[in-house]
This record gives sequence, structure tokens and C-alpha cells, in this order.
Amino acid sequence: MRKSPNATHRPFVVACLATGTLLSLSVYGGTARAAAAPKREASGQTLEVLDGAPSGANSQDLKDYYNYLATRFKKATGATLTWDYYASSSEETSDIETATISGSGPDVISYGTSFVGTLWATGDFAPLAPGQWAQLGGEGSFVKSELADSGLKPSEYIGVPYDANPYVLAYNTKYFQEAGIPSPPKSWGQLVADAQKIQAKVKGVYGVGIDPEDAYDPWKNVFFYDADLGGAKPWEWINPAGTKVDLTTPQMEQAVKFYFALENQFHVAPPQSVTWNSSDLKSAFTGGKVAMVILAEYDYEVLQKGTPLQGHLGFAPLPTVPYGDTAMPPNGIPVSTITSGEYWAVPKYASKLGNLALDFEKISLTPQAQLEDFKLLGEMPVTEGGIKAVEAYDKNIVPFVKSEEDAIATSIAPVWSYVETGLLTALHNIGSYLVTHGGKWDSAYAAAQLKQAQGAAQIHATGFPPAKS
Amino acid sequence: MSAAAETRAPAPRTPAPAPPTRRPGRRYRAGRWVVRNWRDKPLWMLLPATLALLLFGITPALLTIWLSLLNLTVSTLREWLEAPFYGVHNFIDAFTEPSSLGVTLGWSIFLSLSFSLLTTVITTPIGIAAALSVHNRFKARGLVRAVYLVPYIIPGFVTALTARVVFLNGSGLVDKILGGLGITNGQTYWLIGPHAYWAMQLTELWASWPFIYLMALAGLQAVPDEQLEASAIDGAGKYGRLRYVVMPQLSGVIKLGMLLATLYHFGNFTLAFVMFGSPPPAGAEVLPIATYYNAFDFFNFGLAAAIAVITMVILIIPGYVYLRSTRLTGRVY
Repeated sequence: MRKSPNATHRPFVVACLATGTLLSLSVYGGTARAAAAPKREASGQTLEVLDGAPSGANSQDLKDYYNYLATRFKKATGATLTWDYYASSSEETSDIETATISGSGPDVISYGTSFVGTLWATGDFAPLAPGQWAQLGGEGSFVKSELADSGLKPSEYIGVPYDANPYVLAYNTKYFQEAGIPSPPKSWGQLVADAQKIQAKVKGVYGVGIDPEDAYDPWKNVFFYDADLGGAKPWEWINPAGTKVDLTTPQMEQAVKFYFALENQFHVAPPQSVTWNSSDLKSAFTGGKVAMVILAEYDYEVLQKGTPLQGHLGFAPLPTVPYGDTAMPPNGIPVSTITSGEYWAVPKYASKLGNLALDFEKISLTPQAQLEDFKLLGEMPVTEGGIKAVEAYDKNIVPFVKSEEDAIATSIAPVWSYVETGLLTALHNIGSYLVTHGGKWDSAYAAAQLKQAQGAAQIHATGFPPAKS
Repeated sequence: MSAAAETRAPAPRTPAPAPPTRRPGRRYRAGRWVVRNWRDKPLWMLLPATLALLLFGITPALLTIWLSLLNLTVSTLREWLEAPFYGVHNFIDAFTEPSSLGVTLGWSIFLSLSFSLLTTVITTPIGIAAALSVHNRFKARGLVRAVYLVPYIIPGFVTALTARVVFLNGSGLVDKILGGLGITNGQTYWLIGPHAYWAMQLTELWASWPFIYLMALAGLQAVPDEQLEASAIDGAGKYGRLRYVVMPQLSGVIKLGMLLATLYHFGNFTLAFVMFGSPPPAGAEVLPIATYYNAFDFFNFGLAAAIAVITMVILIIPGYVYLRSTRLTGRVY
């Protein structure tokens, strides 16, 4: 049972503060976005932006993109842009927590779609006023689906989308040709049949790769397939009020079963892929070990360079017709992708910088900047102007744009993190059970795992906290 | 009363031993004695150490205890000083509520304890044997000593990533070897399911035995050659010298090494986090993982702090036992 706030703890806290550790941490009473702040001369000011650290294969490209934005920003405002980096999602979380508690830190934060609920719930990020959206070109200038992860509702949108990562099917065109398959599959049944054909024709290659040990991909696979089957809509795994979790529909169990069936029933995924994460899967696909990847992003265009996949990469929308069906079930919804991408959010304490953060966001949304983001990093544009610019540059992005426009957002309720982790745990356990039981599907075990995930999350499904000033 | 007892001469009264005072003849009072003696010492020199201890040891510990008593979630983080007081409910929730990680806190405690203790118990004799093997001079001794240190100097996350490849089913080194020797069918899933614990345990054993080796080697350097020579002259053989001369002198440093190693294994977060999927399988859900997920994934900082406090209490026990066994707590200088 929760108790009411107790004022007697204050002396203790004061004593702790007196030691000096927390002297620097003072809660900053922020205001709404810079609208209320006095406009100041930008020259001589510095805007600090937190984003992912340049590392890995596209490290230099990311540096180039950051430099591009910094240069454009300096030219437009006279102010200096400095980048602060996080190397992992946990470091990002830690940086944001520190900024939230101390009321100081980066002036603009880059976040991914699954993080919006958390940022919103802190109450520490300033929503954009209608006039500010107008300065960014108006909400109508964005791909509509991308705004779904800007916040709880339009009046409380805290995030400005600046790039997108819609999912598509990636396939090796060379293997498809060798197996005599003319086009990528449009149904899941066709995907299995194509995979089996490729395995029969091309020695040492598996039809499709899966990555059940990844931190995100497994639940996304289940999300799509659950929607295709027409069960409870997956974006309603949590009800709109954020108070009820439902992971135990028959369609949900069927979606989980199909995901693992690719390995243990149809044998079109390598046995070792049961322990793969997304890095392992990328390595297998670019290395020519598997012919298809279900949840692919455009970054494969960058990753394929110098690998056996180079010159044989094809993209197509995800299949939507469930296995065994020839058409969508009556309640089925052909979900092509979840809303996935990156957003800028501005902490309330950054209002001291006036409109500088908004100026920066504006620069990142120009068609030129959107094209630069695509050319360097393979990220999809989020504005209509950006899409036109990128389509003129590369016609191959059409499936991605289509996928992005039809994207469905996941819930942003605070309980989402429990649902996501609980579902991942259930999927990991089911995968482990299958490999230790000869691949035999046990409906009761799967149902128990999903029920456990639902029960553990339900405890924390307390709805949305009231909006903070 | 017997006659003998009646006639027994009273025993001469022996004076009680004098208290350890530096001013004989004056009545001993512990408090005054301490104050008087401390007055003569430059206590101000302890100030930096005391401040450092307060800032970096005691304050964070107190703060963690305090946070564990609050209902501190993502929506109360910003005004954390005003977070609702939650009493011991976080501790109760930690043990009773089903977790999205699929395991109970009791399981995580058991796992961390067995993982850390087993690692220490197995690595200790290996480390001592390795230290003894390179104590005497021989050709290429420097090289062997350096090779022994390789597992220890590799960063933890690199070890975990390497282990992930080594333990892949079918294509991993472990399955290749075990399958080749006919011990298994070469298709064991080490990274998921019930074998995950043993994959993690074997990796930790490989990576951590050089720590005990280093401690033992340092201890061996301190054994005087004269004592070894004297015992040899007295007729002690190799085993006798080891058993009665070397080991007693190594005992202190080995105990310290075992304590430090156990504490390290108990708090090892990197191995389970990097080596397995996210979240890790049940066999790798050690306490630091539970703390991490509650704090950084679920943003339930109160609960995470409660788990951290439980961890702290568990870790204090071996520390206290060590201090008692080495009598560091009872010494008065």
C-alpha cells in the first residue's frame, strides 16, 4: 500500500546534502519551451546537443553529418553548436536522468521512439507551442505517422522527428535468381516457400535469419504478425489509458509460434540463429549465410559494401498475409512497420537559450539536411520536402517511404518498458524451452510465459501521471 | 567443606594486571586515556581521508538507503526530494512481486552467491598453483608470467564478447571441442536455457584466476629465503617447506585475495549483460542485472535502490568476517 508523502525525511536529506555530494544538484524550475524566454543575441552562445557517439562502420559518416549541422547552425545563427555523445542506451538514460535531477546538461536531446513515454513522464521536457510548430513548417509538413511518438497528444508533443527507420524485408537478389524466384514474397506462407526453395538450390545458405536474443527485434516480429492475424491490435497490448495490459490472446500466441516456427518447424532459419542478436543477424546476411532478413533498415545499403552481399541487395515491403492464408483475415491489419526513428527534445532548463534550440531543429528539417542524413547515414526523411529531395536522389527508397507512411506507433504509456522487457523475457524463455525440448511447441508453456509477462507488467499499469508545469 | 580445604593456606593475592596506560600510578579510564593520547597526535592529518570517506563512501551509501525508502519512479524523479515516502515497501515488493525479468529476487541472490563463491573456490587453488609454478627461476619465466596475466588484462566486455562467440552452439569453439571429443553432440545451446549459467561461470573462471595468482605471487616474494634454507637444513622436503613454511605466510594475502575476488564476482555486471541477450536468460539474472533493469529500463529507482541495499548488506558479511579473522577491527595502536 502506498503511503502519503512524509515530511519528516527532510532533515535527513538536508544532512546528506550538507556533505557536499549533492550541492551541485538543484532542481531547476523550468518553463515551457523558449517562447517565454527573452530573445537574445545568439552570437557567442553555445548550444549543446546530446546524440549517439560516432562509432562502428559509419563512424566517419556520422561525424560528417554532425559537422554539417554544426556548420549550418553557425552560419544561420552565429551561435556555436557542440555535440555531447552517449555510447549506449544505458549511457543515454543515465545522462538524461542526471540532467533531469540537476536541471542542467545538454540543451537538446536526441531520443528514439521507444523512449518518448519515459521522457514525457519526467515532466522535464517542454512541449512545443502551435507557433513553434509553424516555424518548423507546421505539423502538416511531417509524415503523419512520425508525430505519433512526439508525445501523448498534440498539445503535449515534446519531440520533433528528424529521421525515420521504417522496416522492410531485405533479400539477396542473387539467391532469388539462383532459385528461380521472380519477386519477393507478399505473404508469410510465400516467404517460407521461397526460403525452402533457396535452401534446396543454394548450398550452405538458409532462407531467412531470425534474432530472438536481440533487445528489440523479437517483440517487433511478434507485433507485426499479431496485427496481420487480426487479434487484439498490438498497439493495444496496453489500453489507451495505460491501465490494462493484454498479452494473452490466441493470436498473440500464434504470432510467437510462427516466429519460432521459422527455425524449429519449417527449418528455414539456421539452428544457431536462436541465440543471435541483430549484430549476428546482420553479419550472417551481409556474409551471404542467409537469404532474407525480416526487419531490415536502409542501413544495409551501407553495411553491404565490401561484403558478399554487395550488388545483390533488394528491399520489399514486409509480407502481411498470415501463413496458411491466401488473403488477410477479417480483422487482420496489414502493418508494414512500427513508427521508428529519432526525435529532438528540449529540456525545460534550456529555455534560457531563447529560440536557439528551435533554430537548430529547423535546420535539421530542411530538405538539404534531410537529404544529407540519408546520403551519409541511410536515414529516411520525415518531412514531405525531405521525401521529395531523397526520392529525386534515390528511387530505391519508395518501399521505405510507403512503409513509413503506414507505420503504427506502439503505446507510450509508462508501463511500456515493463511490457517490452516482459515480452522479451517470455520470448527468450520460449526459445530456450524449444531448443531443450527438441523443438516441440508446447502451447501451455507459451501461454504461461505470456501470462507471466502480462501479470508482471499489469502491477505497474497505473496510467499516465498528470502533466507537470 | 573438607578438612584439607579448611587448613589450606590462603593463596597469596596477586595484583590485577595494570591497564595499558602510559602514566603508571594513575587510575585507568578508557575514554580519558584515548582522548589524552589522541591529543598528542596530529589528528588533523586524518581530515582529508575522513572527508573522502564521507563523500565517496558514507554519503552515497546513506543516500541509497534513503532512496530505497521512497516511491521514486520516472514521474517523481524530477522532484525527487518530494517523492512519496514508501517505507519498506520496496523491499517487500522486491521479494514478493513477479518481475518482468521472469525471476524472483531470491533467485538472483542465490545465483549471485553461487556464482561468486564457486568462482572464488575454484580459482584459488588454480591461482596458487600458477604462482608456485613460476616462483623459482627458470628459462622464460618472465614470458610464462606474462602469459598467465593475459586473461586478466583483457577488458571485461571484450572477454564477454569473445565468450559469446566461443559458446555459440554448433559453430563455437566449446561445441567444436566437446563434439570432437565425443563428450556432447556438438549442438549445445550455451547462450540460452539452463546451460547459460555454466557458460557464464566458465568464462568468469577463465578471466579471473590470474587475480589470485597475482596475490599469491606477491605473497611468495615476501617469504624470506633464510626460512626456506633453514627448513631445508632441518630436513624438510619440498612438500614440508610448502606446507609448514610457505602456506602459513601466504594465508593472509590469500584470504584478502579471496575476499576481493568474491566481491568482484558478486558485482560483475558486464559479463552477464554483454555475453547474453537482453534481458539475459534466467541462469544469468544476477543481482546487478536486476538492479540495472529496475533503474535504467523500468525507471523504478526506489526498487533498484532497495536491491542495491540488499546487495550491500550481503557484501558486508564477508567483509566483516575477513576483518574479524585478520583482527583488523580489534587492533589498538
